[in-house]
This record gives sequence, C-alpha cells and structure tokens, in this order.
Amino acid sequence: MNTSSYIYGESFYHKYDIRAKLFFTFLYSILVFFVRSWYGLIAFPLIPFAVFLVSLGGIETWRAIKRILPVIILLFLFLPLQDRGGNPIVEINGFVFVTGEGLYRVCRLASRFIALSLILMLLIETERSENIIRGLRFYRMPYNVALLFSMILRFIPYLGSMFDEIRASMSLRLTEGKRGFPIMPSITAFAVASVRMIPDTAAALEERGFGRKERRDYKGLKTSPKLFTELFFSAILPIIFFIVMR
Amino acid sequence: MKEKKTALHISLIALSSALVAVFTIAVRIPVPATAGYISLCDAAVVFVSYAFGPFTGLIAGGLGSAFADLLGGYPQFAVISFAVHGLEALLAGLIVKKNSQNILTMIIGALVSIVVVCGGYLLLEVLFITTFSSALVEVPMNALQSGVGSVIGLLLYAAVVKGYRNFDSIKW
Amino acid sequence: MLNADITFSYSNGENVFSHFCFSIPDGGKLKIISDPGSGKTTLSKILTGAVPSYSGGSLEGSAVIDGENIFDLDIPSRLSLVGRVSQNTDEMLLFSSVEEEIAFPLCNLGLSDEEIEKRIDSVLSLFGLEGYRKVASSELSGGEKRRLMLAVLFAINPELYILDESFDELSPEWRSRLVELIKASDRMFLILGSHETEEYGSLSCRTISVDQGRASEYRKKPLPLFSYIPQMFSSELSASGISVSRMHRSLGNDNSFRLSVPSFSLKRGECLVITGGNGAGKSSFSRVLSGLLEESGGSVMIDSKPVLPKERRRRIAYLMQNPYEELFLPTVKEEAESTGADSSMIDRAYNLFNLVPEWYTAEISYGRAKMLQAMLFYLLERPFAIFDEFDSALPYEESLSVIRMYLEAGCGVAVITHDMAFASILPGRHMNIADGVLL
Repeated sequence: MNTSSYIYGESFYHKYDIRAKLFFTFLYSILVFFVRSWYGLIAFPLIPFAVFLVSLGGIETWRAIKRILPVIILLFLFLPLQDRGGNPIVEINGFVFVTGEGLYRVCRLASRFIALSLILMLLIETERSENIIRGLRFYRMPYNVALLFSMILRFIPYLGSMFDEIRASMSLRLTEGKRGFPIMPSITAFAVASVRMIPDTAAALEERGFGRKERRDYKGLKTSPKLFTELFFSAILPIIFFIVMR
Repeated sequence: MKEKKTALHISLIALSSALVAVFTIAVRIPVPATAGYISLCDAAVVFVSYAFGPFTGLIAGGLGSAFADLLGGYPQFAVISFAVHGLEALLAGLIVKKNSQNILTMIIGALVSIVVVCGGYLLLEVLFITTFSSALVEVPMNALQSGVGSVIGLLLYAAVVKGYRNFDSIKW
Repeated sequence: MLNADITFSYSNGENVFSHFCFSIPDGGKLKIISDPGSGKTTLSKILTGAVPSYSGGSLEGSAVIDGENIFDLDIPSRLSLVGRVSQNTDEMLLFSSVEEEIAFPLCNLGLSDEEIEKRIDSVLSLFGLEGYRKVASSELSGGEKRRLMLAVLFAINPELYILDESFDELSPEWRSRLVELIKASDRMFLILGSHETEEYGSLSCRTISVDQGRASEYRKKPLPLFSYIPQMFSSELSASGISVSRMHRSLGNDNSFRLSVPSFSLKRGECLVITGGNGAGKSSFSRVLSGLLEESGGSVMIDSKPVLPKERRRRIAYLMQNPYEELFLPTVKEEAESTGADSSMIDRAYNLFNLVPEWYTAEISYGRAKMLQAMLFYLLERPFAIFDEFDSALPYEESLSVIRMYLEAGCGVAVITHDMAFASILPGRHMNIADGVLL
C-alpha cells in the first residue's frame, strides 16, 4: 500500500521554499479558473507539465498523466452532447457532432483540470508532508490542526500495514477448502484494533507534554533572503503570465 | 482536565481519519460483474459517525477521504471528497438509528449515503471540474459503492460494539 | 531521589499493587525483574500518569521526586520529571517523521529553536540515527523504532527514566551501548524486565521483583530444563537461495538491509532455533516461508517439491510477534470454533493453553493473547510452525510448554528469539544471522 506521495529529488522545485511553493500553488490554482483565451488554455497546463518533467522526470510525469487521463477522455467522449445549439464544426450526414461552443467549453474544462491536477500533484510529490504542514503553520493554520494532520500521516501507514497483517494472518488461519479472506471478520478486527489505540495515543500525547503552558513552536524553517526572492517570484510570475495569457 | 479532553479528541479524530483513509485505499472487495473493485470508504465513514457521533464523523470522514486522495495521487479531488464524505457522515449519524440492524434501517442508511455521495460528487464536479454528462458516468458506481458501504458500516458498528465493550469510555 | 508507595487496582477489581514500595537515590539505578503480567508496564504508566487517567482504576499512595508527589501533578506537568520508553514502541510513536517525534516534547518544554536543534542532533548521533532525521517512522525496523524512542527520552532528559523491556529488539552492540549510557547518566533509572539475562551486561544495580503486588527481594531463578528429545519425521520444509530486502523510500536511497538464506531445512517434529540482531530480516524470512511474502529469488519446498506461497499459508503456521493481529473474533470460544476442529479437541485445548472460552479477545492481556494465538494454530494442525519472539511476553515455562505441545504433535517448530538464555534451553540445531546471511 502506497502511503506517501513524496518522491525524493534534488531539483530546483524540490528546493524551492515551501512557503513560497504553497503561495505559488494557491495563486496558480485560483488563476486557472479565470483563463479564457485559447493561448491561456494551452499555456496554463504546460507550465506545471514542464516543471513536472524537469523536477520529477518522465516516468513520474507519465504516472501523473495516467491518473488524469480518464477524466479527460470522458470529457471529450461526451463532447457531442455539449452545447448542441451552438455553431456546428463537425457535421456528418446532417448530424452535428461538435459545436464551437461545446469544443471551447470542453477544452476549457480539460485545461483547468490538467493544470489544477498537475500543480497540486507537484506540491505533494516534491515536498515532505511535515514540511507542507510547517508551511501551512506559517500561514496561520492552528496548532492543533497541524498536530492532527501530522498524526493522521503517521497512522495511515501504520494502520495500513496493520490491515495488511490482519488480512495476511486471516489467510494463514483459513481451514482447508476456503479461499480468499472473510471481509467482515477482518474489518471488524481492524476497526477494534484501531479504536483500542485511541486512549493509548491520547495518553502518549499527554506524556509527551501536550497541553503544557510553556509550549513554543519549533519552526524548522529558516527565514533567509532566498525566501523573500522566492515569495516574490511566486507572486509576480503567475500574475504576469495570467495578464499576458488571459 | 481540559487538556485531557483535547488530547483525547485529537487522538480520536486522528485515528478515525486514518481508519477511513485506510478503508478507502486498502479495503476493497471485488465486484464479479464488472471485474473491478469497490472501496469500502463509505463503510468506514458511517462507522465512525455511528461510533463517535455525527460531528466526529463529519471531521474524520471528511479528513480521512481527503487524505486518501492526497496520498493516492489525486489531490485535485481532496476538497470535494472532504465535503461529500463529511456530509455523508453527518447525515448518517443524524438520521440513521444505528442500534437497530433491521432491513428498514439498512435501506434508510443506504439511501442517505447514495443520495449524498452521488448527488455531492455530481454537483461539485459539475461546478468545478467537468461537464454534467461525463460526471453522470460515475453515478452508478458511486451508488453501488456507497449503498453497499453504508450497509457494511452498520454491520461493522454492531460487530465492533459486540467485540469491544468498553467503547463508551472513548466517546465524547 | 524517588520514594514510592503504590497501591493500585483496576476498575474490574483486579488488584495489581498493594503498598508496592521502592526508592531510588539521586543518580541511582533500579531493576525490577518479574514475570510478564506482574504489572511492570502498569507501574510505568502509573508513574507517568497514563494509568489511571486513561484506564480507570483506583490509585492510592505516593511517588515523591525531590519532595514533590508526582501523583498530584497532571500528566503533561510530569514531562520534565518522569518519562518512559514503552514496551510496545508503536504505542507512543505519534508522528510521521523522526525529527518531529523528537522535537514535539522539546517544544512542549518551551526550549529555544537552537536548543531543540542541538538536542535533536546529539540524540540522533547518540543512538546511531544520524541519517534518519527525515525518514518516515513507518519505514523503521523494530530495533530502529526502539532506538528512536530511547532518543526521544534522552532528549527530554527527565529526572527519572523508565525503560520498559527496552533492551528488547536491540542488537547486542546497542544493548551494551545503552548500558554504558545508563551508567554514565546522572539521572535516576528504573529498568523493567522479565528475565535477568546477559542483556543487561555489566549493569549491576539493585534488583527487586514483584510478588503478589508487593516488592520482594529478587532471586535469580534457575533456567528451566527442557528434557524433551524431539522425534523427527522424514517430511521436511526446505528453502534455498532465498533473499529478502527492504529500503527507505523517503530517502530515495538504498540504505537497506538484505538477508540471504543459502539453505534452510526443518523436519517435522524438529526444533530449530533462529537468532540474530534486529532489523536483520528474521520476520521477513518467516513471511517468505509462510507464504505471506513472495520470495525474490530461490525456492521453498516441502518434501523437495516447490510450493507456491498460497499453498504454503495452509502448511506453515506463523505466530506473529503481535498476537492481536491474528485474532479477529469477539470471544475465545468463537475463535476456537473458527478453526473447524471438533469440540472435544477444542475443550482439551482450553485446558492445555489455560484459556476460558468466555473471555473477550480484545480484553485479554498480551500474554494470554499469545496463548490464544498458539492454541488456534495448534487446533489448525499445521505440519510446520514458526514462533516469532513468542517468549517475549510469557514466562519461560509457559513458552516451553507450548513448544513442547507442538513438537509432541509432530509439528516442525522454528523458534525465532533474541533471548540467548531462552535459546540455550531449547534442543536441536541453532541458526544465526550474521552480516546478512542466515547460517
């Protein structure tokens, strides 16, 4: 079971400060919704695509595309149903297959979906989750929410391996003539095991000092001139790009 | 005392969310007719809601499925999943009588899940991601998944309560 | 200075301690050696406050550190006074990365960023985890997790360190390193263990035991004898050319262990002991043998015929380290009946394994859960069985009686253990993992 989206790398986008990267991702995701020109529709997905190729390589880029593709194929498959009253472009035997308005609408949705997907995938694949959480803390996400997110990220792989264990041991205990694994008993055992961990975990939190008054926040993020340069570029580049390509 | 409560709430939500995420990612049952799989995401969502109340369900169901999307490589759906499964948990917890496992309760539970999940994804995807006609394609699978999930969730709740009796010490 | 006088019983009436009294002078070390199930873990939780706050039960008495009764303090306030490394490391692991795990309590102490940074670096190098700072905790082996939890405790540096079976899962080198660290520390240490073995090396200090909920003088028990001469059959499980590997994905490197097993054989009725350091791949190899993990090379055979993983699962019982992972049904009775054994067999098994059919599996102790796990595979009558660290939560006598029952039933038994004293009692061949090779 794959429980981490981070892919190790040394690229410029991996090294880009998380606070700037979050801002860039956020801004870019918003702007994507306002692009109208054909140039923009083509250019906006291309930028994250290029960054993807450079920072994560061809194989990972292809993996990302493969996850997006089904939605895009569906969009174009149903193109003939879109804006039937519009300007016909493709007509076979008097039946209108594609209208100009329909094509534009579908392309716009596809462009937006690709751009949005890639920019978000880039964020989570080039940054360790604990860094993303630290970055969100910089933007004033509450302490308890950050703590909760960190813990969820710890427990997903742990419970995942626990479920694998339970399923595996189920298969060890099968009597002759039975196949597969019984779903109800294994998910019940799994749920009970997870629920049992709740009080222990709460105790552990308190034993590690959760709730002490003198708590300080460990940033783990350094403030340097690099950050300001990167924040500046994160703001200015998408905006210029948007104004040109709108 | 207040800190103890907060620590317990955080642990409760963290583990329930992780439970939902693992059900979404790893717990799949094969559907012979389609040669595909359905995930038991909804079973965990309604289970958490029955076990720990509609509001814990709202947060854990939403967060769990959002994290499953993030880790599974579908970050673009995380927000939509959060809203849909959060609402599913909330309504299931408020409407369904979890303590009676008869056919009627199961039908009501399944209907709540089907309506929220199918309707939610359809609405939000049409608003933000795709066209109505292509979003419609997902409806049958979503309906099957959430309907089956909801019934399994109810059975799961009954089974867990039977096997783990000091459940009430965790509730809040 | 610690002075404790503890009386505690669980809300179900189970009486754990009645005036359990002990004291540790400043900088002193105290060992408590007693059988599994005698309340050592409960004691450590009472001192940190997890019990009774999260378990219920009634606690009386006091534990005074430097004039302050810590029972009057809530749990977080005890952070700088007392800390523990839990027996089950996963129980206290809260974060997805090594760095966060260490930083969290230090933040709660209100330390400055520089001080936190300094302490993280120093404990990481103290426990050989320098390269692991960014590693996901889910990628650590059992021994590495143990070292991480020790690192967290040493970073907090409380007045009283409690080490609950913390020598478990550590390799011999790390055990002696830990002993050196304990000796060099000026803090108080409470060391809890089930057996006085060479694990503690040259750590000689006052040792007490728990007897009926009271402190008693510790008397080293002689190792029990295992006077059984295995009767071997010709049917044989064998493997050759197996290799197992694991890597740290989040570091992107191949900082992994590899285990290769040139040849392996186990006859029915035979007892085979496998020892080796932690993270060496004993569990992974067991998984390959029992068909839970596909072999990356080589083959596994029964009676010289290659057997597919799926088929192996029905021939080889694997008693995993954590018994709860192999228990699914609400009660002992339902578990027993799920094996399909006939009822007279099942009734006999309850007696042999000291279990009560009405017990709830989610509520029994770790040691009882191990017995239940052993009973189930016994009822399933698998021709071969692998016991993974079975002895870790049971008195020697009980572990031995279970192994004997399996052997007498003609089962080929492979016992994986890190406890050399326990290994020395068992009859039969010994295999050891050294430098990634099982020989």
